[in-house]
Amino acid sequence: MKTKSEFLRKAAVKAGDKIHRAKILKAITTYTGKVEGMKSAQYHDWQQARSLAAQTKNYVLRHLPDLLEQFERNITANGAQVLWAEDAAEAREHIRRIFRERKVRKVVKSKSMTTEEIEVNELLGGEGIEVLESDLGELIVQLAGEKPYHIVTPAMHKSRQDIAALFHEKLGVPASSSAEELTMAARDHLRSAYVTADAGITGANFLLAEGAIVMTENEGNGRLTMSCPPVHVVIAGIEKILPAMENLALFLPLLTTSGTGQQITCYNSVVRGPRAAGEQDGPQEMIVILLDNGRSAMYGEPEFQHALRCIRCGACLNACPVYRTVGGHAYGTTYQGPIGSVITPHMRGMAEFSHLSSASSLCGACTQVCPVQIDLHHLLLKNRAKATEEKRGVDLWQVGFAGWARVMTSRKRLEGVRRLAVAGEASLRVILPHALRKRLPLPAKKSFARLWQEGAGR
Amino acid sequence: MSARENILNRLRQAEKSAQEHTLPHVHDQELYRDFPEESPEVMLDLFARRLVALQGEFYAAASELEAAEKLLHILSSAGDGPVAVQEHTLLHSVVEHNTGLRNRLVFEQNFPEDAREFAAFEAGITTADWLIARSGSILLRTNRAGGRRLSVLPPLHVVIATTGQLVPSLEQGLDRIRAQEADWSYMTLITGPSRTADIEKILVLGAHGPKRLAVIVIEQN
Ligand code: SF4
Repeated sequence: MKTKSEFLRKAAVKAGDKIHRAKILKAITTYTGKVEGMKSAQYHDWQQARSLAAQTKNYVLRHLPDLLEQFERNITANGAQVLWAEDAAEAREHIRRIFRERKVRKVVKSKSMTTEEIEVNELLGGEGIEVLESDLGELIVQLAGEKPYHIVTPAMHKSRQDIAALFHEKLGVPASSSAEELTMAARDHLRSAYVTADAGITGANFLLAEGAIVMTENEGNGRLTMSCPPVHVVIAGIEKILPAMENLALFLPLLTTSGTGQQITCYNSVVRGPRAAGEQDGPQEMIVILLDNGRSAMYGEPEFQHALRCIRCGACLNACPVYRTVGGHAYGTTYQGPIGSVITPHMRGMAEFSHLSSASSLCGACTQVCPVQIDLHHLLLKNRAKATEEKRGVDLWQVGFAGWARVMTSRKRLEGVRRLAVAGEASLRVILPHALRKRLPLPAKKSFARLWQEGAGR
Repeated sequence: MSARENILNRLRQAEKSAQEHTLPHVHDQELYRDFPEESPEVMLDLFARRLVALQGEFYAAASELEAAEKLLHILSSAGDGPVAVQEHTLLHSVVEHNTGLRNRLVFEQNFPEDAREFAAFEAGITTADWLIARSGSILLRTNRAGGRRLSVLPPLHVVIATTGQLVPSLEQGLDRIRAQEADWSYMTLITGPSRTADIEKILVLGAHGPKRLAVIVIEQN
């Protein structure tokens, strides 16, 4: 209940915030123009690409346990280590142990939503380990003490002036800095971190069953994180699997086209393990943590399983009129927008998060843009149904609608209610408050059936 | 029961109800409108246009000697610190021509182990595995690219390759990689210099990786 009232409170504040609206509109308008342009410039048929991607992911889901085992076997043969975590607590425990055993004091991290999901920064802070976010957007929200606003563009809600003020305070740059100067300040701030960190943490955009992780990015912070520190820890959801490298020819451009409107991101790295024999450099150790955290439960529900096709491109957030109005922080979840509203109740509890499924006009804009054809708005509807089913005790809505259904399905009962209403109208008007009294419609003196029998309209 | 078993069991239990799906196969040619004709001229032209559109620097060279001149030109607008070079016959024969450059070059066997020292390099020079025409990208594996750091830590990355390495699209690049299987731990597809648009969607180059990416393609018959 508290989560819901928080959501309502924050959403109401943001919905009336014109400055917020202008910032988001500016970012999303730029985004939409680029994405639509890239779809038509690059693809013969964007719909064909979407359906191929959905089919590939369906194949993956059909064979998920086997593909995960293959992934484990193959990447282990390359010298990496694989750990499994059923929930956030177990993943945190793995990380705590890994870093304690290796006496890690300083960690550089590249953008990863799974690390947000298990709250790695809070964990490491508690362990007295210094954590540096290296993605510019993530660094901005980290310095501001906030959570990411958007799964792809974490600092979408901050204007250049906001960021300049923040960097002025935290990094000592002039408050009038341009976007370029601010980016260079971040570059300087992190340069030494890559080469002095004891470990690097990344997520993965894809896991290849043939034994590799794939990371896509523009800045190069991910590459540096995977190249310099002696230990590379990867945290990835179990649904991230693709069969092999060949599938990237479809998925890398698809993800980027939807995510940012580029043809392909600046850097796409395929990492098969730690430094191999005869190689110049690279981490001595690579550890991959496979995170479940509600995914296998969702997998077990036939109606919801296909939501695991998500490649976290962020397109549904940008398309969503609710997201654009209430903003990413109102959700109070790791994953915001339509996909967040679909999966969060399954990951963190229907009772606490089902209200998000109702925060939708079911306009279907999300479903239309999703590059892997997830039926997002219908899943929101199914969440609502599931939440109602799960609710125990007497619910006024349920009682009300059950009664309504009884009346409406019988001509006789409907007539009875009409008569009751006619008879009781005068007394009802007396007890009702003035405002309602005015809105109360007058019951018809005679029913339609009666009028018909009497020959009206002939 | 371990987490691994619990997770796999849950997935296996659910799997029974899932219907069969086959893995679709599609070629880049059928998918992408901008898939180029497979002639070296067409591919080189598209590669160059795409790279330059992303603010990468493109140089065509008729010979190794000319490539050496272009290299000198590229380095002339960078600082005069040491330059790290991948160990490769092509790169050796190109830099042979630049006697003035020789004392600035550090070849792979002399790379420092410590990343902090490595950070002092002004530029990194590598070859490429394949050049992807459709996106203006460079496909690079660490077993031959002088390691992971060489192409990302220095502020300038120079790639020297030949027209024989051009392929139309990513699919063909990955096929070639598959065909010459080797022991490599890391591969990167590089498309333009490092960039970010995290601040108001304004494009800024050189976020964390190289601010400059220069590619010299030597024409081969
Ligand atoms: S649900 Fe679809 S549109 Fe939304 S983030 Fe996932 S892949 Fe992208």
